[in-house]
This record gives sequence, C-alpha cells and structure tokens, in this order.
Amino acid sequence: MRKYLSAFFLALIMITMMCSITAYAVDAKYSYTTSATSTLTITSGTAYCKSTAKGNSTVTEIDAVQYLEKKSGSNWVAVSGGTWSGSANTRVLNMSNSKSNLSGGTYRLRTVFTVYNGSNSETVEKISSEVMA
Amino acid sequence: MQDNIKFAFENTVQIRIIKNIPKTPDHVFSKIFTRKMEYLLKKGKPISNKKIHIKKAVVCAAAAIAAALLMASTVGAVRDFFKNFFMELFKTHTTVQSADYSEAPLSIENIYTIKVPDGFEKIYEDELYDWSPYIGFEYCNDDKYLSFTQYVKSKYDVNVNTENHTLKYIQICGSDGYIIDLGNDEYYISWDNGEYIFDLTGNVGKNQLIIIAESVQKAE
Repeated sequence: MRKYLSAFFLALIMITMMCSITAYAVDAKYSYTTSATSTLTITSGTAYCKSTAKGNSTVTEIDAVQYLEKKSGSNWVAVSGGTWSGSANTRVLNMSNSKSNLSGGTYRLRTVFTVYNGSNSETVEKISSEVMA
Repeated sequence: MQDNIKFAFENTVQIRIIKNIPKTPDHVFSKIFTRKMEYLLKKGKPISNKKIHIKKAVVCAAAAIAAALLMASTVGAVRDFFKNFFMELFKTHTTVQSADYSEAPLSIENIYTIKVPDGFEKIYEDELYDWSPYIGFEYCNDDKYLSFTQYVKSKYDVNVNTENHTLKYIQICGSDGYIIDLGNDEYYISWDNGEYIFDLTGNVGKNQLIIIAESVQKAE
C-alpha cells in the first residue's frame, strides 16, 4: 500500500510542477503590444542588434533591454559589454546597437520590452534566431 | 411396528453416511489469507474493495499525468504554415517568419514606400545599413498613426498580438498576407510581395489601411 500511496503523491507533485511550468510559459501578456522583433546580424566578427516594439494607440512609453548572449553548453550567457537599455515616450521603440570583436560561437539577441499604458504595464520578451560567429 | 422400522433404518443410514465421509486433515489457511482476514476483522471493511480504490487512485493519477502532458504540449505552441508564412501560435501572440526566402534579396536593395493620406507627416525613419534586417517609417496625424516596415524576408521574425485577436488571410496587390483586427479601428497587415515582406499598422480603419497598403511601390 505504501508503494501505491508513494506513486499517487509523486503523481500529484508532477502534476503541480507541470501546471507551474505552464503558468510561467503563458505569463507574458499582449494587451497593448502590437508587435515585437529582435534581430541579430553578425558580419566580420561584429554583432548588429536591432529590436523594435510597437504598441497600440493607448501606449504611453516603451522600455527595453537588449541582451547579446553566447551559447555555453546548453546555457546562454550574457556577453560582457553586450547589454543595452533604451526608452521611448511613444508607442514605438527602435533600438540598434553593435558589439565588435566577437569570439567564435553561437549567439542570439534577447530583448525584454516593458510596454506601458499609463500606470499599467506588460513585459514582452523576444529572442532572435541563433547566429554563428 | 412401522415406526420402529423407520427409526431403525434412519439410524443405520445416518451412521453409514457418517462412516463413509472420508477423513481429511484440518484445513490450514495461508498466511496471506489469515493476514487479510485479521485486517478485515480489525477494520470491518472488505479488503478487496480497499485494494480496488488504491488501484483506481493510481490509474487516475497516471491518466492525469498523461492528460497534463498532452495539455502542456498543446499549450506550448502550434506550428503551422500559412501561405508564405511559417507561424507558431502561442496563447498571447503568434511568431511569424517567412516560409520561403531562397530567392529573395539578403539585404534591402530597393526601398519601398507607401502613399500616406493628406495630413500625415513622417515623424521617424530608420537609418539604412548594409546589415539592416528591416527599415521602418512612422507617420502621424494628430491621434492617427501609421507604421510601415519593410523586411528582408530571411530576417522577418515578428511576434504579433493575437491575444483575443484573430489572424485572417488577406491579399494586398495579389500578394498573400494576413490581417489582425486589434480593436478600436486599429489593424495590423503584413504581406509578402516575393521580394520583401511588409507590415503596416494604423488606427485609420480597415478599408483605409488596405488602400494605403495597396499603394506600396518602389521609391524612385
């Protein structure tokens, strides 16, 4: 009987964990955000990072942080000097930055936008395709 | 006399029947059965029913895990091709990419423009570089706005708002595209003319926005 009870509680724990993961995955909202892009281009050892977020007509401000990340094993590590932040008091935010002297490897650009509608806000993350340097 | 004979016969037969019963050793119950019986007497509930309940619980738990796994895979994303676009549908948004860019330019070689209605002024224009994945223009007329972007097809990778909004097929100048009704007369249109992908957002109403989208042409 102990075996059965253990299996039952193990199943309960697994279901709870899965529900938590699912809830985290759908946490981002698109209440005011119309579109978001995060594009990485690497040419001759230089990374060109371009991100844009557009909000609907009720948006008052957009903030963003660009993270240039390099793949290390199965993890992504922020590149030193490859983090930039920007802000715009309009419904569109465009950000362009570059990082030269990249070492070989696989890179991506992760951009986290915070879109404001007055005192309300939502966070949207956009990750670029992976690019080899 | 008759009664005496009957009595004598009955006794004789009874004795013979009892004598004919084969002698068997006393039955000894197995340890498991004895334990179950003791448990049954203690709890006052049938053991067999209890066992079925636990089994049912385990089966239910297994079914719940399978259902949760199925739900998790469903909620994650639905990948699909939509005309010239490759789409990943999430609960709040859709990620759209070009499904075929093999013959498209790898950079912006020709700039396209739209014909904006009277009263609109250009308030922003992206600088164009060799590496530019897209070039954007912003127009404004009081509280009305228009956002126009021209993308290199291989770099078109956009998250669009489909939270409570439906993405529908549309043709712009005979090219395949899609339109999203964002509410309050705001619409997002994107289309692929074979060379580049464009998107146009604005709060000027659906018909007006389609007219503006269809005015797209190469800049002189």
